[in-house]
Amino acid sequence: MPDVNSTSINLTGIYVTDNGFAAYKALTPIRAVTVEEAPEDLDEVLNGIAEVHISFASPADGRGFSTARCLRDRGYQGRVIAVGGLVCDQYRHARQSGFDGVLISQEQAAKMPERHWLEQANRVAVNYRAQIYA
Amino acid sequence: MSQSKLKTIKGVHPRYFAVTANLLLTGDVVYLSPTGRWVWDVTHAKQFKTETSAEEAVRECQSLYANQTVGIYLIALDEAGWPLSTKEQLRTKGPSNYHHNNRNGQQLVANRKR
Amino acid sequence: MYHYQDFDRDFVKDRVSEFRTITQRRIDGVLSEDEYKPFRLQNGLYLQLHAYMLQVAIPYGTLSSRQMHKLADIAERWDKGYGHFTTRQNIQFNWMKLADVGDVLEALSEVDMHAIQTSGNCIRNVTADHFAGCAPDEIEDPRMVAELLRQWSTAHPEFAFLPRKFKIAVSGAPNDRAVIAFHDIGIQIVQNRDGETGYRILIGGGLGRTPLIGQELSAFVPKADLLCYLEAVMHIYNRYGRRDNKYKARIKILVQENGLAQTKAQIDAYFAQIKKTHRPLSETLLRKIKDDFALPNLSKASAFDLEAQMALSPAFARWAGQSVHAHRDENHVSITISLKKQGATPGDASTAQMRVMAELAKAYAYDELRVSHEQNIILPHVPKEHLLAIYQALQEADLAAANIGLVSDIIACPGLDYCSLATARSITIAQQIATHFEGLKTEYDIGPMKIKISGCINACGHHHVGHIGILGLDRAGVENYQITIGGDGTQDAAIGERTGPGFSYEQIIGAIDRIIAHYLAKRTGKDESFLAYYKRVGITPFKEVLYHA
Repeated sequence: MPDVNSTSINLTGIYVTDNGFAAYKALTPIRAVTVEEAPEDLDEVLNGIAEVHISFASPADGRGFSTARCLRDRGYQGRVIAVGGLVCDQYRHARQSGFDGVLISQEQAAKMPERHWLEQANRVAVNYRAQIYA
Repeated sequence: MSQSKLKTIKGVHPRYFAVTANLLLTGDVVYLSPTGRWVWDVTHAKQFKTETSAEEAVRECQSLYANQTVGIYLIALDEAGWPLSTKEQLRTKGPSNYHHNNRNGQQLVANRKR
Repeated sequence: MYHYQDFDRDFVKDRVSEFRTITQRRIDGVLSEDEYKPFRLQNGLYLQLHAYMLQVAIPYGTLSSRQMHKLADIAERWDKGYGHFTTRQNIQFNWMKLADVGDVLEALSEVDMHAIQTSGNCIRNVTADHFAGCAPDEIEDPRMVAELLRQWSTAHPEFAFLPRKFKIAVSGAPNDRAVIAFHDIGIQIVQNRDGETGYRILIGGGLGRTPLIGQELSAFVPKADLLCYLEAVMHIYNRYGRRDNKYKARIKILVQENGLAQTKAQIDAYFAQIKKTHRPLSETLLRKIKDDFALPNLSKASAFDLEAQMALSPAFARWAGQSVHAHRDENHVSITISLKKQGATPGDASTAQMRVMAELAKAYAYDELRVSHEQNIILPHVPKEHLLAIYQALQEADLAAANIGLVSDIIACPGLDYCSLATARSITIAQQIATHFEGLKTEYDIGPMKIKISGCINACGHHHVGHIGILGLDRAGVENYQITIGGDGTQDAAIGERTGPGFSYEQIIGAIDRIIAHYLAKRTGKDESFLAYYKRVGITPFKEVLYHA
């Protein structure tokens, strides 16, 4: 069993990356990080954790983007996955905030087929940072 | 959106109720007609005698017309079948700062002075 | 002004194509309205009472004549022949059809414009002093940093789904013409003791149902640190801003509930964390922005005796007295073109008027126009010798109202005539007030006066900072108007004080008339402005004339 801190970790579904859909295979140990937790307090906890799940309550709640960003700022190098309520046009936001991919359900995949996600995957490299920063 | 909590508007009890929406493609203000079509003229709207029956029609329309319309809700009418609230009167007549009506080049409602 | 690079252009074109794709999915019924709405809002498309409304971004209000012409073309082809300039220094088109919007966005992209992030819970169009680059009191052109912020905030991945919308304004001068104290973040360009230019940051200001004056978060942020510092502010807001109640979701409530000290401590801690790895700004981009915002090559205009001209024509003198402003170059002035002709809709310009203004900018004013948050158009750099020609052209286009800064120069939101959030009309109140005082011929006697009208509690018409503010509410289906007095949106920021119970649609003009008649009767003289009079006597005498006369 993966080392999980919560019963709510979803271990099934479709894993969406820049390459499209794939069957999800967990990297263990896993830790779910909630958007209420301060990543600043988790350095010890995440030591040795291979995969972090950050859950989005709804497409409108963008806290998970900041959670992922902050984990990366603090040097977390494992896999970071978005789970829950994201829609496909938020794929680029997730990738640009430090997520490796998005875990979606079969129902979500039926509504938002692979080509919709791939359209957005093409936009991951497009952002103003390259122009703004040296 | 529903005005069900409002017993009176401007001190007047609603006499009838109608179902209204905006068309998805154009944004036009429309009303449900007695034959189940969407019409521009509020005076051609189906007049529901009770709020409950209008609410039922709203629910039905929400499942039938979710992809042709946006924001289906009920409005209160006076005894002449005219919207009671200022907002709904403006939706019907178009903005009061210009003398054009609310649909391109067309006169929706006979120049009714209210 | 900033000239798009390939990246900017490709980005906007891609967004047009994305808009077409996703909108088609909505039209085909693949997406529900609930799924589609957040997307269309991120692209500036609202559904209002009568039609869709497209809010087009005009970054910090700056336009070229070519862009103004394109706005005119859009108004003519896809709207009803007019556009509405807003307090966000943007333009909105009120009669859009969903099926046309892809084409409209395409047309905008041809002149490097778009409607991205003019709605939604993201960082909105950054606004700036409308006299940027020409004001004599300016330390530095605020549009340079505003442009940097535009690029930084556009499609920022972390900050597209904030608790609520987020508004930033920049002023480059000690005299605040950008209302920075009433923004989520206000940025004032300042110099420190060493003569280094940097930024004073205000946080947590805002209007709406909880009007608050911004507090100083930092007295001086060095230029190189600004984006990193703002990332820290936004990050803390995104994490801790309230999401349980949309009326308590703005950053001002976070600051109010947690206190400035705690918020600042969180921001500073996160700033320290990210500063270590934050990449420096691109020198190439900074240089380009600096070059793009350099003053135009100002003509050594021939001597023009403005005073003599004014003496020759009283009508010209009246107009020039209100519309002409000092420029940092003595041969030049800035002109405000009034979109407030008495009885007209504040901020509206017809297709023909937009074209006239574009042509005037091109012929006489270095091809540049500005939209002010007060809903007028500005020609920022005008050689004095062209003033008469411009005045005559404006007269012919019905754009020569000589009322800038006077009682009829009213800010009004679209209100219940258009807006689905509104609870009362505001445009028609503005029209009536303007024609009322025009009829009395007291405008010039009344002197400086800012009336601001909002058609609902959200305060898009900035009523809290009006010398006289009017807030339209709904009382059981009846429009009702509350009055506030003494608001001030400048560096002397103040929130207007409510006089008492509201007035009906029929009563409100009379109430405003009583306020002004009282001021005219009781002021020490013409040099005591309405605001100065209010500061001297307080609200009580106004309550007397409103409720006990």
